[in-house]
Amino acid sequence: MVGYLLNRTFQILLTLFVFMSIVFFIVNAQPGDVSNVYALNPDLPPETRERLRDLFGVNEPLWKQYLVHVRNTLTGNFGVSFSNYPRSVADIVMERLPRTLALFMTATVLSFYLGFALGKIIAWRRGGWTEYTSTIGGVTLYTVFTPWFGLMMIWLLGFKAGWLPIGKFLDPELWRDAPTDANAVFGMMIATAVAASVIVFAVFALTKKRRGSGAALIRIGSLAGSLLVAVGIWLVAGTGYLAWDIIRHMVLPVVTLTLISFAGTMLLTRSSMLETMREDYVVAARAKGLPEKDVRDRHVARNALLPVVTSFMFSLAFAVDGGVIIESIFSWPGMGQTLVSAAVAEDLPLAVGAFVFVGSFILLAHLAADVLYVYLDPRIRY
Amino acid sequence: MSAVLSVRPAILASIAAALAVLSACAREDAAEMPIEVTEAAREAATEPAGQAVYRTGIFAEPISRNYWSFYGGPAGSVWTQYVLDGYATTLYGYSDRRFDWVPVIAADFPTDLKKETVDGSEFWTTEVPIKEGVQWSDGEELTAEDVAFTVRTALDLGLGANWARAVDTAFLERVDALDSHQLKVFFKTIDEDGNPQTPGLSVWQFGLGFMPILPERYWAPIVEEAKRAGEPQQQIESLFAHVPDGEPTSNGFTFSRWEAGAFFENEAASNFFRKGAVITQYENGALVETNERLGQVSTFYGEAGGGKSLEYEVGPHASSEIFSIYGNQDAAILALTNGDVDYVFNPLGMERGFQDRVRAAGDLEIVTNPDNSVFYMGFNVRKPPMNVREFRQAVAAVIDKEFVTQSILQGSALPMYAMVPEGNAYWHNPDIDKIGQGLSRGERVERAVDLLKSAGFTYDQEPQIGEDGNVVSSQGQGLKMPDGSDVPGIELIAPSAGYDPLRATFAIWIERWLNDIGIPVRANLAGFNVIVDKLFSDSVAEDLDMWILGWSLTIFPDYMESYFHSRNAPENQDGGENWGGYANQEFDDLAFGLLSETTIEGARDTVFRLQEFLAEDLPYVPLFTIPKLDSYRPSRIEFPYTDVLGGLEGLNGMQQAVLIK
Repeated sequence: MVGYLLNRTFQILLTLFVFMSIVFFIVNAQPGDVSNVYALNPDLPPETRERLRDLFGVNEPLWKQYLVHVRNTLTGNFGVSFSNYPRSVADIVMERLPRTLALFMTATVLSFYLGFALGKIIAWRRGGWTEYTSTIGGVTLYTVFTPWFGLMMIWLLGFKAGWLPIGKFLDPELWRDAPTDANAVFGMMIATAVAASVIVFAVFALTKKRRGSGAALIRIGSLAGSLLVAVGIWLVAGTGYLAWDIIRHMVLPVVTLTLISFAGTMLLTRSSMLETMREDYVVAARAKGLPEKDVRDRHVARNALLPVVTSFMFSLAFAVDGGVIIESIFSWPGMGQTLVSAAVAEDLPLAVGAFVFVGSFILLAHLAADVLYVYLDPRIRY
Repeated sequence: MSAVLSVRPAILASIAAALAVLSACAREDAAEMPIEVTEAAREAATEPAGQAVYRTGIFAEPISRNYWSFYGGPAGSVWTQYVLDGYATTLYGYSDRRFDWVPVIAADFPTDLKKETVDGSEFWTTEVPIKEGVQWSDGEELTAEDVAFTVRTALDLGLGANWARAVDTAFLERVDALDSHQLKVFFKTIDEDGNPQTPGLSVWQFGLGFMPILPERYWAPIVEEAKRAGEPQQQIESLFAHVPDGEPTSNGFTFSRWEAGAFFENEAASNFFRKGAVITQYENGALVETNERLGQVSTFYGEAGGGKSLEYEVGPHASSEIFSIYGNQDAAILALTNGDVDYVFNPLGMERGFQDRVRAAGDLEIVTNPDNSVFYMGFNVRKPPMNVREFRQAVAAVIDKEFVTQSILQGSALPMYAMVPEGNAYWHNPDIDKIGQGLSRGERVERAVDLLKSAGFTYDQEPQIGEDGNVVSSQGQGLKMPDGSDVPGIELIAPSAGYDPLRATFAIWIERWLNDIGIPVRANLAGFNVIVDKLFSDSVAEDLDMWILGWSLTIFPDYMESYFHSRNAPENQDGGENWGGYANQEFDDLAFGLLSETTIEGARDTVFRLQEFLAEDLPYVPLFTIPKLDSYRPSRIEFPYTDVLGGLEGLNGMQQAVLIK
């Protein structure tokens, strides 16, 4: 296992290096450079563009620029953003990442939970109206034109019904006198979610051998208890109203994202379940007279989980790059918007830095998925 | 129970750790205030509810709060400009609507330029009195030393961009503070080559006079530290990198809070020197500013009399202004129609779909103004056949601007003939030759063919007009140059529809019309960066044929010198903007004279003649300008006036004058 991990780590570093190089040259291949923003301003003396080029080092030969980027990447210092001068790339990524994580992690977890639950049910009840409704509805939403659907959701739930705020991630008038900034609140929200997840996971692990209403009571109790403790801490901290404001703004994009993506997990679960249901051990479980629910959840679903978890891990990794369309439509200034604006503005350090950051996450997710396989399927050994 | 009792220590530890992380986060957040919240904001927080907030929407993040960087560095974006509008004042500025040149913190107009010898050197000198009682937002007085310090810093550090324009080192020697309220400006009398020179309007009145003034008390130590940073470039980087916490401001607002990606907020400065001043404009051209705070009544451009054309009280009338940051124009317009903001800055104009949405909202007002911009088609006049004036005139004759702007673009653009837009009324010459205006399609073609033939061009077969006189029934064939060779294929590069549908539409129609008269033009719709790259390439003289782009313009039209003086051709100056290589000695003399012109009237005469030149020589064919649309919620806010060149957006949303209901 250790040898495998070392080998994989080496492969990841190599892949990351190749990825970083490709990103650098692709972004550089665009015509023009960052100084084009000054190209058509009649107020500015002609030497202004040259000064800007000197300042950002884009007058240097390409190979020299590349070496600078390699050095910056290897030292973890991606340099200074051209379009957000003089802020560092790391600073910008750290500012945008929590917003994207909060939104997309929430949506990813919800859509997988919903997709997995529905997938289990429709695989178990083949041919019923539940399957037809879920499949048609899910596939319709899965294939819908995302910008249109996002705008419709805003129009319907935000504009017409007035139930939810339209766009952005906070209400400026509420935050004018806030004692802390939004990123601190995002960070604390993520910490809360992680802590609550750990507690709930631990309680589930502790009670996995128990049966009956007692176990259910403990699990629900732990969930409710975690939530209560979290709410209590937020109230004591005095920033609960700020977190609530962010949550209100998150509802619409999270619902939209969940609706357009749960069908993928649902169909994957369904097909994996159907394959597993034909296994001998499932027939044996039934023959032993186990309740249908136990056969479904403990024997079929557990074994059908592997491809779904793989997909889930990769989705979590891709969550760090956000979604350009969703972030744009909902004015959610996260990593997706950062990547696009950096590419458009030819902000090389930011574009390369952000892509490398996202690429690192994805490669690490591959590694994590490999490790997780061992836990989920004892048959797998490296 | 047994399962609970068989708890593994690791799991318990994880629960404890999770709770510890959570509570630590809570304690940390409760104890610290990492966000920048100024004292003014805290005081404002204790004010009663129902404050008058000017709620606006922008759709990109400002870059920096550092005014040096905004005005002369990488932070120079229009979004930064909006949020920093209330930070720095100037010696002189433009009057409302009419754009007369008027004093701002100057107590009066400067003395006439005079030659003076100081320490053995000769200078053009002028003196400027500074108003007494003008305060920075922290209550300290704004003095002549602040002006001298700002100029000195720009000169010492060699700041570029707008600073280089305001503090033109080719002319400006230095600015001295004679005392707290008297400035003396020294200009060079000879240029680098020893030729005599005079600082004209663009250098002095509309250059240095418009320079933003920054507080010496706050910035002096930072500038000194920057000067110790090493090489000149590092000095500038050091200055630009400073985050100006607690910087005093002078133009009505001061920084309050910036929540990255969400909003930017400024608080009104209660001691703004113009707050409460009444501006009155008279129909006879006179302008009166009654400032009780300073105990001054200033009258300019004649005696007050006759009817008033404008009267309003300067604010800020809002206690604060919030710039909500949206991801794109769509989201910003949606927020406007939803009532989240009362005004949206639209530097890119407003497409038809957005206009319809705003109109449908019912409680929003749309005001339309001419924009101070020109979208044009340029010729590389170094290459044949573009080097033939009649050829360019023939091209201009067949372009039916009214047809494209009105019939095709449905009024989204306004036809243009002069290089100075009609909306810039004082400087616009309405009497220039407008080639092709009012002609039918057939008449245009006939005119174009006549022009070509008069220059020696010949056809194998001339274009034929249909019987109704409005359709070219047969395209011209075999157009030959005056020397008998075939007219070569010509490339017209223009922005693609994705970047600008207006210019792309014009390009397609121009291609068609030119093909009709036998000119082998091919429209190449390309990305903006591709076009800019081509224009700034070393081979522009050889590779460029015709191109379509646009300029945002200034009120004082000295840009004609930048675009058309031969010294600004790329082969004569690196980065020069006369890409077409237009060279005409008579025009050069006139344009250069404009830079040295010291009187408004004299400059106007020159500007009129320059426009006549360009309308006849046509190095550019001005195509159109765009109407500037502003939308706001009249039930919440009110502007003292809305009819102005460049629209409300051009005045940065009139932050110091808007009334909050």
